[in-house]
Amino acid sequence: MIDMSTAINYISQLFARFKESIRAEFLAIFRDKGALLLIVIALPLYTIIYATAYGSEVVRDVAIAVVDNDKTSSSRELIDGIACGPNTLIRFEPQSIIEAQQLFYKGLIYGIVYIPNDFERNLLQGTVANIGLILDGSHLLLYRQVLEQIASNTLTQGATVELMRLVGRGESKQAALDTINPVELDIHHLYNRSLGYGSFVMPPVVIVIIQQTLVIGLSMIAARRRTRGLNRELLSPLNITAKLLVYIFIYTINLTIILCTIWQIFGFPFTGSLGDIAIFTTLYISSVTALGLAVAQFFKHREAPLMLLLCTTIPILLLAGVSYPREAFPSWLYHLGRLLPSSSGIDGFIALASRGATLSDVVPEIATLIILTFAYLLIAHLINIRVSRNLP
Amino acid sequence: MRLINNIISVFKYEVLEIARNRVYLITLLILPFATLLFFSTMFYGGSIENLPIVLIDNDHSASSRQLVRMVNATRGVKVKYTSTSIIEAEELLRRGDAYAILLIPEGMERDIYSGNTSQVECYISGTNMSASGVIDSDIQNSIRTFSTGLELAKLTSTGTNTHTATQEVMPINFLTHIISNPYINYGYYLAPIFMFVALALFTTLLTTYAIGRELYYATAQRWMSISSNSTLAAVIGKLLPTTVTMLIFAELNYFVIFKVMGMECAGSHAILTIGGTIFILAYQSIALFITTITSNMRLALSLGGGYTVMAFTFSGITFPTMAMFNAVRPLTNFFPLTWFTKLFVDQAMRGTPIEYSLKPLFSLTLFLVLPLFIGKRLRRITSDKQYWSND
Repeated sequence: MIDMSTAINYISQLFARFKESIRAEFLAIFRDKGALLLIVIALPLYTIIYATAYGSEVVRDVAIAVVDNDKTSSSRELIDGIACGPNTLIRFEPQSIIEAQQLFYKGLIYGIVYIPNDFERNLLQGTVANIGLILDGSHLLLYRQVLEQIASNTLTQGATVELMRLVGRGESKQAALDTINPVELDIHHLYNRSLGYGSFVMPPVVIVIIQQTLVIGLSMIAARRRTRGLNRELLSPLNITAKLLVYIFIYTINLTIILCTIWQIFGFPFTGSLGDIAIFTTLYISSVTALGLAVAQFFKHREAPLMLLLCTTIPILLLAGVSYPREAFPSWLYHLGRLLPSSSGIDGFIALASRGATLSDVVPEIATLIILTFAYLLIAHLINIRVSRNLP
Repeated sequence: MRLINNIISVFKYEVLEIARNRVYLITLLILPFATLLFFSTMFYGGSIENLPIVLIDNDHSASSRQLVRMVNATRGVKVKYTSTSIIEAEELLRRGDAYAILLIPEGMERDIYSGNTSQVECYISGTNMSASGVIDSDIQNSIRTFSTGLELAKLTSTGTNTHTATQEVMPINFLTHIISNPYINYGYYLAPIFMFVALALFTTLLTTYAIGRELYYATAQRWMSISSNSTLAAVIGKLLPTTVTMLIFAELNYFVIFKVMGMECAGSHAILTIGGTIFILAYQSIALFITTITSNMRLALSLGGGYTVMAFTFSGITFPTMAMFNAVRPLTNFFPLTWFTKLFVDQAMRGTPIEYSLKPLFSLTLFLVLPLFIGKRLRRITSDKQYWSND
């Protein structure tokens, strides 16, 4: 009987301490305006700002110029075809290449189509009719849009010419079509059908913002204690659990709001199972909290985390190998990036939310996040003990 | 002359502060160097190569193997996995192990020989657009080449001579000439702007820190007395160490871009240096403005830092400004980085005649006007104790 009551007593004490830890953590956040701004407000605020920048999703009507030196019905047909395409918009038809060049330097156009004066004659004579395509490689998204549009129009018209020649020689239309196109290619875009830029870039951006705000915010809170002359907080398992719960709570609410409003308004992809995504983001937030607790041990001044950590935002985004594919940079950098929760967080979140994967598809990411959580908690604990001993 | 002496005294005072303050020193010297090193390592290669795709070859013929060889011969795509079922292949896509599935239908070779069209399918994952763009064009090109080759073979087999046949299969040919960045190097396109965003960020943080610290630690009085109460000298002397260091880093950026990464400067290096200088001064003006208005260092660091990092998005280097919402597009003009990006692309990549670069240069200069509006408030917050708070 006595044992039973001590046990109950012990448990209720533990529970009271746990509640106190949670309350203390909330107070720490709400007392520090800087931390409050970062941990509670920044995520929805930045998400809205970035969504409005990327929200229009697709690049259409890229301005180009056409210099038509041929001025024949064939050249007109080609120009009209290009004009119908969604990617480009013929904004100017200057008289000469020099004039087109001026327009290009003024930043009014991103490409020039040049049709020489022998275009129709060559077509009629059955020889190759050349056209010139002058492109700007300084913006690769625009470059691709222009190239794709012109290439497809040129090839379509070329195929029509060829078809007419074959039919003219007495082949049936079907036979001629089969000759022209022995192998046809059909391209399907999965998961992001309209190839929206926001749909591609917003998931990684949000995942990185979670990590940056939480790590910098936790460092600020830790530094605040120290500047106030308070004892360094001892990281007990109870205390750590309380912290994890608090941050999982705050970030899950914020993330839910974002996914339910901004994601819907802008139509960013969201196909996975809600439960799977919740489990995964919980694991992600846990590992970010652990990283934050480890990093926080290094800061003595509240302004230092912003000064020293803000510049890591873009490198962290790049290291995940999504916005810039991992195949394009040194693999040792990519593997180094796996030490950050954000890298696995981005991969897993995109797989689940954008590609409709299930938890079993993202086992490697989940395992990495769990390992990172314990590793960073251990690091935080070790530094915490070491530094606490040195304190008076 | 007195002004210059006062500036020199404050400058000396600030340099001493920097030497004593670890955070200041790291942000001024070590982080800019580290980020420059990072971006140049990241983008040194600059080409997107060997993106892994899954192959489902249902034909198993000499023709299908030939087609796969042609796909593999492209720079961007590599068949890394082979699969027999679309379900298994899609799993690789969902997990993110591969970017696309190439499906060769059963009976392709038979169709080719019997003169029927056969259909090759390609499923591309759209969640990584820089990869899917490369895959899309590389696969299209290789299949087109393959198809044209077959057509050519067919025409020559029916008695057309090779020369005529070549003209037959391609009645219209387009000759592409790329004006800037001719090898489509992603590094040349992205790395310079990343490097200058980093500099803008450090400039903003350091400027805010230099001014804001005096309020935060309530030492503004000492600072003002060193400048003999000249606000102008106090500000110039204080910001000068950051200005000088960041200008050196700007030149170091150019050195890395043009000499190490090997990009060819198509226009005027002098204009780039002038532009880089105004760019740094513009961010200093903005930081000074935000710090004075908020008179709160930590808030100013958050606002200034957020604004500077955000500039990357709004400069249009990734998603072009021309494609943004109509309501958003005018906002892009309020970031110095947008103008600097224009200037850099014009002078470094396109070789634009100098007169076209005057507008971005002028726009950058407009940001330097900002400090003129806050002189009075700056005097007040540096002399009135109620603005000195450690929060």
